[in-house]
Amino acid sequence: MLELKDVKKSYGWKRALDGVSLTVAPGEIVGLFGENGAGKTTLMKCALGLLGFGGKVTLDGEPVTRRNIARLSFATCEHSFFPNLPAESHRDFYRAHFPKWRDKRYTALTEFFDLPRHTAAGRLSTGQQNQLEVILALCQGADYILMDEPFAGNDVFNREDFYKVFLGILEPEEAVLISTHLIAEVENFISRAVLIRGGKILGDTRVSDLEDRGETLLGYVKSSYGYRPGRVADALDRLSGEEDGQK
Amino acid sequence: MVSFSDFPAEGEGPIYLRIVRFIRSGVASGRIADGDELPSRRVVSALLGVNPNTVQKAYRLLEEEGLMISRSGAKSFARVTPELREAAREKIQREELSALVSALRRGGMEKDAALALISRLWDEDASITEGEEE
Amino acid sequence: MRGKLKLPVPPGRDSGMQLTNTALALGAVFLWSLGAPLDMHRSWQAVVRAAELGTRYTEPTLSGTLGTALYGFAGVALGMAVLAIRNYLSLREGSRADYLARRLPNRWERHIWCLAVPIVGALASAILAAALYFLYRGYFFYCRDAARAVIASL
Repeated sequence: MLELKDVKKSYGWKRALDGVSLTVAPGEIVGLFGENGAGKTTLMKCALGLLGFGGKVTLDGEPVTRRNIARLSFATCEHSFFPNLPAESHRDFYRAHFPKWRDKRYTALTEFFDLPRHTAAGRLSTGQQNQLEVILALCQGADYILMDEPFAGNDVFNREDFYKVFLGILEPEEAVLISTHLIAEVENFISRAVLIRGGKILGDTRVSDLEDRGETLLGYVKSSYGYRPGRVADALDRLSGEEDGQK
Repeated sequence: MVSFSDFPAEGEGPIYLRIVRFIRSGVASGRIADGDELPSRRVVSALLGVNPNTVQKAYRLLEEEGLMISRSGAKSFARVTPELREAAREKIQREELSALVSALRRGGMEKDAALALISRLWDEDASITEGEEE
Repeated sequence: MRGKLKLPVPPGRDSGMQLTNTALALGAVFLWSLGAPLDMHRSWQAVVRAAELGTRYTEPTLSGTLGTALYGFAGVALGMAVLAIRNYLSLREGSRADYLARRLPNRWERHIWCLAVPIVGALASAILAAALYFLYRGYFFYCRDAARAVIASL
C-alpha cells in the first residue's frame, strides 16, 4: 500500500497541497484528475521524496527511504532521462541501479514501439521521448508506477496502443497512478478516479461504482466541480440582453 | 477461442455491459457455440484497452446469466443450450424494444398509435423482403 | 593509459575530457609558476654582481620572488568549484534527470558524479601547490646560501 497521510506542501504563501490523504493499493490503476496547478504533480513528487513536505508517506507502513525507493518509479512529461544517452545506455544504467529491472519487458516494449535504441534521448521526437520515459518507468521493477501527464505530445493511436500494452503486461500486483487531462480517454483504462482541486481531494471513487450508478467519468468530474452545462448559454443570454438594452 | 475482433468500437452504456451484450449476441446468433473457450480476463483487457476489473465484472455477469463457466485457473468456457440461446435472444430483443419504447414514449406517442405504426411498418418490411425473394 | 583513467561524472558527460582539461589547467599553471625559481635565480645573481661591483643591494625575499607564481593553483581550485556546480546543473539541462538521480537507492551516487573530478582536481592542485612551494622555497635558500658564500669570499 502506498499511503499519503495528510500531506501538506507550500511554496511560499501558496498552499500546493492542503492535507491530502490518498491510498493506492496493489493492482489499482488510479487516474488523478485536476486543473493545472491543482496539485497533481506536487502530490507525486512528495510521494517520491523529491520534495520536502508535511504529513506522512508510507510504503506498506514504512516511510519512503533509500531502502524501498526502488519500489516507486516515475515518468514525467518533463522527462527524467539523460538527454545525451541513448535508450540502450539507459537500460544498462537502470539494470545497474535497480535490481528488479525487467529486461524482457524492456525489449518487448522498445521493439513494439520501434523505439530507436541507439539515438541519444535528447534527439528523439517528443512522442518517442515520452515512450522512452514511460518504458523506463514500467521496466524499473517498481510496484507503484507514478506517471505525470506522460502522453503530452503523443498522437491518439500511440496512446491507445499504450493503454492496451499496459493492460497486457502489467502484473496483477503492480499499481499505477497516472495524472492526465484526457478524462474520457482513460475512463476504461483506470479502475479508480481521484479528483484534486486547490490542493485538496475533491472526489475519490471506483469506476465500478460509477458504472453501477450509471454515471460516466466525465459526468462525475463535471458534477464534482459544480460545472453547469448551461453556463455558456447563460453568458450569451446576458451578453445579448446587454446589447438589446443599448438599442 | 471466441474472437473479440468484431467488438464494436463505439456503443451505448458502460463498457462492461457492452462486453456482456457482445457475448450474449454471439450466443443468440450461434456464433458462439457450447464449449467455446473465452479469452482470459487479461487478454480481453489488453485487446479492448479496458481495465481487468471491468472484464471481471462482465464475466461475472455472464456466469450469473449462465452463459459462461469458469474452470481451472483462468480458463472460461461458453455454455450454450437451446434454452440459454433462446433466453439470450429474448433478452436482446427485450433490451432493444424497451429502448425503442422509452424513445417513443418520450416523443409523446400513445400506446395504440405505436402498436398501429409497428404493425404497419412490419407489413411494409415483410412485403419488401418478399419482393426481394421473388 | 589515459583511456583507462576514468572518474565518475554525471551520465552523458565526458569524464575523459574533464580530467584532461583539469590536467592541462594544472600543467599550464605549473608552467606559469616556473617564473618564481627563474626570478629567484636572477635576483640572487644580481645580488652577487652588485656585491662584486660594490653597489648597494637589498636581498630578495621569499615572498617577493614567489609573487603570484602559485596563485594559479587557487585559480584551478576555483575552477573546480565551478565545474562542480556545472555538473549539478547538467542534471537539469535538456531534461530533469535530477528526478532520476534523486530516486536512486544509493543516495550518494549523484554527489559522487558531480564532485569526483572537482575534488580530485582541487586536491591535486593543493598538493602540487604545496610541493612546489617547498621546492621553490628550498631553491630560494639554496640560491641565497650560494650567493652569500660567494659574497663572503669576495
